[in-house]
Formats: sequence, structure tokens, C-alpha cells
Amino acid sequence: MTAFTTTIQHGAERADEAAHGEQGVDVVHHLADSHVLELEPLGTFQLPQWEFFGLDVSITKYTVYMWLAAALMLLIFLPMARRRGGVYTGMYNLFEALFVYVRDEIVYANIGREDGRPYVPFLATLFFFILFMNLLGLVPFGATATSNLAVTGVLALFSFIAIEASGVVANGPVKYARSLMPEGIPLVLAPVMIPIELIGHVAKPFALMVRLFANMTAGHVVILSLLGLIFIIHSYLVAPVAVAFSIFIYMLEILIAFIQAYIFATLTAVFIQLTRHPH
Amino acid sequence: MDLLQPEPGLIFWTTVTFALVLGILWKFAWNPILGALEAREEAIRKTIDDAERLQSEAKTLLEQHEAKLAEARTEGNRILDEARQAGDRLKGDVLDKARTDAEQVIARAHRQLELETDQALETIRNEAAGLAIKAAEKVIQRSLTEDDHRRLAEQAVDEIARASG
Amino acid sequence: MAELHLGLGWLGAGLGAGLALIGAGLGIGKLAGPAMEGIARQPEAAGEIRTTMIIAAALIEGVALFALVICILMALRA
Repeated sequence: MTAFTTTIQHGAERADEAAHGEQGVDVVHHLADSHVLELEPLGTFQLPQWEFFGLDVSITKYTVYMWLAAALMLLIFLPMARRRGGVYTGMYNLFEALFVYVRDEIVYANIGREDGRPYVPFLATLFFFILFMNLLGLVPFGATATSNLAVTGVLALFSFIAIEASGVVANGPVKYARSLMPEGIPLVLAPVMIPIELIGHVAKPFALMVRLFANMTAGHVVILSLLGLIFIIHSYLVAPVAVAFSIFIYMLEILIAFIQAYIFATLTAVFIQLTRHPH
Repeated sequence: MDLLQPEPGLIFWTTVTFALVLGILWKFAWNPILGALEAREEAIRKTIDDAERLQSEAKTLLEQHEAKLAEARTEGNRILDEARQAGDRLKGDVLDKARTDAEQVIARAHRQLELETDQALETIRNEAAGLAIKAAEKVIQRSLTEDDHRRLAEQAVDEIARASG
Repeated sequence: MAELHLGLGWLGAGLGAGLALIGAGLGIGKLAGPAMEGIARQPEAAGEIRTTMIIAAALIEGVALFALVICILMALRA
């Protein structure tokens, strides 16, 4: 963990040195967002920095990979929707199988066949967007946009809106508001119960946000730490072991990329169903 | 840049990107794909239902045909049995008749034979008696009377008849 | 003094992370054991059990991750 701590400690001044691989692997530098797109053999690209009403809305490394994920989704699913008839092969079947899995196992299994249909588009977008961003982080030169709290936070916010909106739509605003105060509980406890229920509502998307962020970050930290051992110990003998272990973790990361996308979408579906039928 | 510090720029761009992707795909991808999938599932279900219905129809038809075939087969067997029985009966009748006819013919022949044998015996007896008398007359004409002749001849004839009959 | 504060902060973060992992490990282990038994007993319900298990494990993991975030915050702010 020397590389990790020292780079945290010394921050920016060590970053240049570490990037050249002389002292260690700068974990934080790899995981933090930046204005520089590093495609090393091809060189680095400085991304434009914009301001918008005093807000820094620069295009950053994660923005680029997020757009890549979005573009991939549009490129895959728009032609898929236009297709009619014929024999379905290859990639079409792959993504159709994934989509059917999302529809049947995530949405219909948790919300129900009839009630779940309106939620399929939202949850499918969520699932594939997260999945593509997760997987893009595993591509060489790629960056995992989902290992950033801002990205997962916004996704969780969308989930929060969907969860609360579905509760309001299914029960009506009044009945839904009353679910904050479950029946049969004395009115005296209201000052305690209502904040607890409210915290419960906020904690769900917060957990979604942190879970995705932490899972995607942790895998990268482990891989980079294992590879960092090579530079810390300064020996070629460590390299095969470290590379073997990091390949193992990498495989695990592929699994986790799918599982986390699944978990995010499934938990959103579960929470939607919970708010649609409160207590 | 801090790991745990969400940047406003990224928040902004994530919101915009996700909302855009969600909107575009909602309208132009997910709902058409959902519809197409459901249509295909419906078509497949319908095809399977049709196939099952057709199969059950074919099965009942086959069963009907087999039943008809079995019926026809038993009917044919029945007719054959009847014909065989009739034939057997006819054969028996004819045989019986032939046998009785033959017996009658044989019996009649026996009777005729007996009758003719009796007649022949009678004739032979008479002629033998006549011949014997004539022969005896020639031999012993002088020593015996007519009555002695007759008594002796009759004795001889009786002996002959007893010996032959 | 500053060095000591830094060291204690990292100590706390490390211990906290370890404790959180023990809790999460126990929780998920307790969850996965009966789930396996259930799948072995009723293989036809494997899909449903697995889904429920993953969701429950994710909820446990979420709690553990809260703890880990606090640990990271401690480590970074120390």
C-alpha cells in the first residue's frame, strides 16, 4: 500500500513521476477524473474546459467514456428496433437475450408482468448504461465512469425519482404520503417514525450510489495495487505472480460488471414494487 | 481531483447524457423492441397452439380411422366365419345324404341277392331231385316200387340239402 | 503530533474496514449457506433462490460499503 498512501500524501507533485512508472502506480490518479485523455502510445489529449454560468462543465475522461457507452447503446439498440422479420443472428441475439433477461428476470419477476411493462424502458436503459460503462472500464485505455460518485449519484437520483414517482402514481399522492406513517402506530411516535421513514427512502438510492461506486473502484484499486507491487519491490520475479493475480481479479471484474448492473436495476425494481405497495 | 468529491461538471453531463439516452431509447428502441418481442411471442404461442390443435385433430381422426378399420376387420371375420359354418353344414348334409343313399343301395342289393339265392337254391333243389329220381330209376328200376323210389330219393335230397344248406 | 494523528487515523480506517468486512462476510456466509441447501433440496427453485440471495447479499454488502466509505473518508482526511 506504499504507492497508494504516498501518492495520496504527496498528491499532485508525485503524479508526474508516478505516471512514468519510476516509483509506483498512482492509484488515485488512475481512478480520479481528469481533463486529460491518456491513450499512451498514441499520446495524450487535452480535453476542452468549459464554464457554464459559473459551473465547471468541462468534458473530462469520464464524460468521454460515458458518451462512448451512450453512443454504443444508440448504435446497438436503434438498429435492433428497426429490424423486422428475417433470421436473427449474432450480436442481435446476444443483446436481445440480454434485453429479454432484463425484462423477464429484473422487471417482470419483481414488479409483475402487467404492472412492470411501463418500467421496462427505464430499467433497461439503467441496466445497459451501467453495464456498458462498467465494461468500458475493462477495455485497455478505458475508464470506468461508474467508479465516480458523481455518475453513480446521478444514476441513483434517477432511480430515486422513478421509485418515488411510481409510489405516487400507483397510490395517489395522499395515500402515498400517509405511508410515511404506518397505520396502527400511535400518533405520539409520529415525530420519530416520519424521519425514520424519510431516511429509509433516501438511504435506498444512497446505498445504490455507494454500492456501485465502491464495487467498481475496489476492483481497480486491487488490480492497480497488485501491479504496483512490481514497481514497489523492483523485481522481475514479482511480475508473473502479480500479473497472474491481476488477471484473476480482472476476470472477477468482468463478472462484477454484470452483477453490479444487475443489482442496480434489480434493487431499483424491488424498491419500485415496495413503494407501489407500501406496507 | 478527490475520489470522493463529486464534480459538478460530471453531474451535469451524466444527467444530460442519461436523460437523452433514456428519452431516445424509450421512444425509438425499447418500446418498438418490446412490441416486436411481444408480437413474436404471441406469434410463436399461436403457432404452437395451432400445431397442438392440429395434432389433436389428427389424432382423433387417426383414432376414428383405426376404429373403423378394426370394425371392418371384425365384420369381415364374422362374414368369413359364417360362410365357413354354412359350408361345413352343407358338406355334412351332402355327406350324410350320400351315406344314407349308399346304405339304402347296399341294403337293397343284399335283399335282392338273398332273394335270388333262395330262388336258385329252390330251382337247384327241384332239378337235383328230378335228376336223382331219373338216375335212380334207371339203376334200380326193377327191384323197387315207385313209392320206394320216391322215399329213397327224397331221403337223399334231404341229406344233400342238409349237407349243403 | 501531526504524524501521530495521521497514523491513528489510518489505524482507525484499517481496523474499521476489517471489522466491516468481518460483519459483511458473516452476513453473506450465513445467507449463502441455507441458500445452497435450499437449492440442493429443491433444484427447480434454484433461479428464484439465487435471485433472492443476490439481492439480500447486495443489501448486506451495501451496509458494509457504508462502513468502507467511512473508512476511506477517515483515511483520506486523516
